Amino acid sequence: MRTLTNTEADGQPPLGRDRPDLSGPDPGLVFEWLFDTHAAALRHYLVRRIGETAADDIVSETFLVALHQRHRYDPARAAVRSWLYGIATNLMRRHLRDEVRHLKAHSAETPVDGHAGRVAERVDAQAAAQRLAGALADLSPGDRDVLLLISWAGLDTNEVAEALDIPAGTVRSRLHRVRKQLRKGGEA
Amino acid sequence: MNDLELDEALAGFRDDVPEMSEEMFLLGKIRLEAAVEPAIEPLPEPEPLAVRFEVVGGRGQSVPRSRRPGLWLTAAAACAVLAVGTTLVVKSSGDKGPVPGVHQMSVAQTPSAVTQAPVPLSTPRPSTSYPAPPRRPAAAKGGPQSHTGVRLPAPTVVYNAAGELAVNVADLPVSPGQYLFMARQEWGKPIEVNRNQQLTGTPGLGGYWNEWVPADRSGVWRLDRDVATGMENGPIDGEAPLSSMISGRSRQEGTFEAVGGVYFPPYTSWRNPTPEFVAGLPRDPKALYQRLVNDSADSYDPTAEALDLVGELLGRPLPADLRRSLLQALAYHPWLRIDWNAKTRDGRPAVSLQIDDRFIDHLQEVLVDGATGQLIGTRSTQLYPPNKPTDETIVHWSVVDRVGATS
Repeated sequence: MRTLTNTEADGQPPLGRDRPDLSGPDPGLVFEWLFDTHAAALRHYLVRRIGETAADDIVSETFLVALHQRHRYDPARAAVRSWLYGIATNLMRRHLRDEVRHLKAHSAETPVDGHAGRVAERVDAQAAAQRLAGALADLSPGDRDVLLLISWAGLDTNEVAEALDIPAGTVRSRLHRVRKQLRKGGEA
Repeated sequence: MNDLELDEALAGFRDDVPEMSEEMFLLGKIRLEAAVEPAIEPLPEPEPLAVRFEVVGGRGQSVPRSRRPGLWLTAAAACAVLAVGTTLVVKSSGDKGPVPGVHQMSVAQTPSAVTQAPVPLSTPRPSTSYPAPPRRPAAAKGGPQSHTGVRLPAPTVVYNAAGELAVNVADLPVSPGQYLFMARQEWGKPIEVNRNQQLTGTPGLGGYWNEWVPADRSGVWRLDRDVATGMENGPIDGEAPLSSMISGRSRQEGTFEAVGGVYFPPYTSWRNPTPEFVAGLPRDPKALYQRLVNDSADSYDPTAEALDLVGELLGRPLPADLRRSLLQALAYHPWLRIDWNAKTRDGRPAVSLQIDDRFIDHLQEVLVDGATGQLIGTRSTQLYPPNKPTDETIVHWSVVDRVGATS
């Protein structure tokens, strides 16, 4: 069976698992591997941002878009994970209202019943989470992407730069500004 | 709050995400497989499919991270299961009825609202008046700047008939004391709320944006906004209120009042325009198109982004001169298509200014009333199965006698 990452047999330069060749004549195998490797983590990130229903759809759409555009992917210039998160981020741009709705949903949650000692603790934690939800909702979409791709998706600044197609320096400066804004908001 | 506390807050925020279910995992792979190899042969008998479906686990089961080639179905079977799976998973946006507080009278249905008899534009006509060059590619993939698609070309010749829609553009007659009323209904995909790891329903099917603009546009505008009509609004604890908020709910929802409609400072752009931004846009169609060329340049598909920006702006109460210029500017777009016989979600005739967003493979539509040149809807539709709209709006315009009135 042809492997996904060892292309020496085809006379092509070897590529790492994070930069597979997607332009081959048989995309089925490599995209199966991509889905197995990245779908669950991508979904986890998207659910945190826009909720389960929209996230499930965007995960599916992300891989379909990737499949359609596989010939444009250049493994020498970006890791495939950055590329996928870039596609998902762009797809999510059409769901900004979903994200704000989801943030609102979080802010509207009420504490569950429980032992009295823990209820107060939960109320405090929930108030902090509600403040964070409000602060995240107030960020511009681009700033929110930078912050959450790093904090929730686990991308580093260079990977975020690849995903969002902005210079790494811009990512770092945005991140610094956003975190400063959130720290200030957290003291309100 | 210090950095450590912020990191802890972010890490713990909404981290109670259930694992991807086996069912959803399999369905995603099936969709992908179906796209790789569309079925050509007749579908197999349904019995094997029933057997196949019985091995699918229920929600909440964890998904092995290793490759599972055994689940990679044949293309024909995949398409068949896809048809079943879609009915299980894709939810209807439903609720096509009116949103409380949003009236249904359209400007097109109110002849007295138009200052002059409109020029008929209902006859289908060629969408291109000049041969367009080969379309430029959307974003290439890779390192810095490579995700940005090729810029639109500078304005040279008129490529399409969008400018003809400008013929009928006029401001609705708003007398002193009256208000221009814009009512927009929005549909996106429904959301589910996860509370304590339990799904509790699909509360939101969409939202609305009701806005009242005084005859003197430099006066105080009012916005009544709800982003999730199925959910109760409530204030966000600890959130500093905006000075424009008058209803005491949250920054995202409620009633807002602000001079010139600047409810949500400090951002200003095509998507959140201030009076200064609107005033600063050129009225010369060529210059305005060039501005679109520049402002769409940093996007994944500038060709589609330019139309999206125009749609966003037309979705606000713009003066007629700018609406006219925007439509005329789009005539320089080489790849804009026009469907003269489109309809809005609520069935009104519309002229669809449309383009394929090749980065996300969606058809983007800006729906304009041919009789008034006003935006009456937008739609974003998948260009791959199930080819459904993923985001849709309808807009109604009218004149009312007092702020807050809907008719």
